[in-house]
Amino acid sequence: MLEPILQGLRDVEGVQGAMVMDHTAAVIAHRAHTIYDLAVLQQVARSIANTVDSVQLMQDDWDMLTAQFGEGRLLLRSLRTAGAKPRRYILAVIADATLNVAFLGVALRVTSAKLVAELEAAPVAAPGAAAPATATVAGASGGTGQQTLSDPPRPELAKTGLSWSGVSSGSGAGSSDVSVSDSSSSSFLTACTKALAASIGPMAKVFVKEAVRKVCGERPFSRADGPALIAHLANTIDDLDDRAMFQRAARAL
Amino acid sequence: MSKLSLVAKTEIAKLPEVTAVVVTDDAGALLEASGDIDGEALGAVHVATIQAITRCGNALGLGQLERITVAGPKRACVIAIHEQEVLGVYVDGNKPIGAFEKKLEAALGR
Repeated sequence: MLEPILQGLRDVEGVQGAMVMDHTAAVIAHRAHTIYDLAVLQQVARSIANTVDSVQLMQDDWDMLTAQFGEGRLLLRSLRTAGAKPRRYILAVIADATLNVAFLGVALRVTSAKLVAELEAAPVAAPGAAAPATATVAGASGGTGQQTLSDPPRPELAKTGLSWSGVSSGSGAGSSDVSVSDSSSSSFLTACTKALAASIGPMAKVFVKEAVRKVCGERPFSRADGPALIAHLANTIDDLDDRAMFQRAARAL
Repeated sequence: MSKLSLVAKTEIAKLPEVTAVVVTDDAGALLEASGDIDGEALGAVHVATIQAITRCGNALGLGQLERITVAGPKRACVIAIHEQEVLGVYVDGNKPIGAFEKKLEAALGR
């Protein structure tokens, strides 16, 4: 689900590619010109990891690095997830000399916020196993090609996506999505997931999805189902302190 | 004193937004430092950062590295390469970094 978000950066004039890497230097998503295939990006990711190690020594709270080259730029943005187990990712943007810096600044802010939200909702993969089994590389014309990697596949839940934005048609058996009746219900589920994630970590979205299915069955989730959903989720938290923390957060929803 | 060290000391360090300046050679040996920082340690870090980011640029075909800007909430650092020497300038994070980059380029005669 990260690649469509990266496409927002690719649409900026002068941007030739964008990728997200984790702390192990594994590329977990990318959308780039075909000349920047996954092998190249993986090599670059390792050098970026070294760069970040150095930058941390001089400025541990850095959030943006811009490298100006003779024929283009490389921009790194630090992405930090919130919750019980904060994680750090790096968003890298490759640009040529025609880059529109002002447009990229806006696109970076928007994209970063979307990526962090998506990464916070995703389950944590085992270290070194974050690279997707199948990566999509967009060509200069926006076309896509498939490229299979030998890295271990991510957990199924991570790559199928668990979005409940909008009215989903994927509520049938075998689908990973849940249906929502309107945008406010979707917002409620997102807020509820964030509240739960503070107690139990990144598996929160999986538990929320399962709870929605139990509370609503096949019908779409609506805001009126909120109290029942919160009660159901609270019962799944064994630790009393964590349960109390979730209930306090849920009261504000 | 090298030309870069002289410019750093007499021009760049006197800019109002600058809090510290470090000049090293391309091996990280300290040539000039001013401000409340550990110039020797940071100078070496600047060179290590340049080497790592240069490998990125080489792999991506972006040409020769000219400048790195690291921005954070409290301060920003601009690392520039000039005639085989490395200049690191620390700037107040509340000041616009783009404007400072232009001043720096002008001071370096680019």
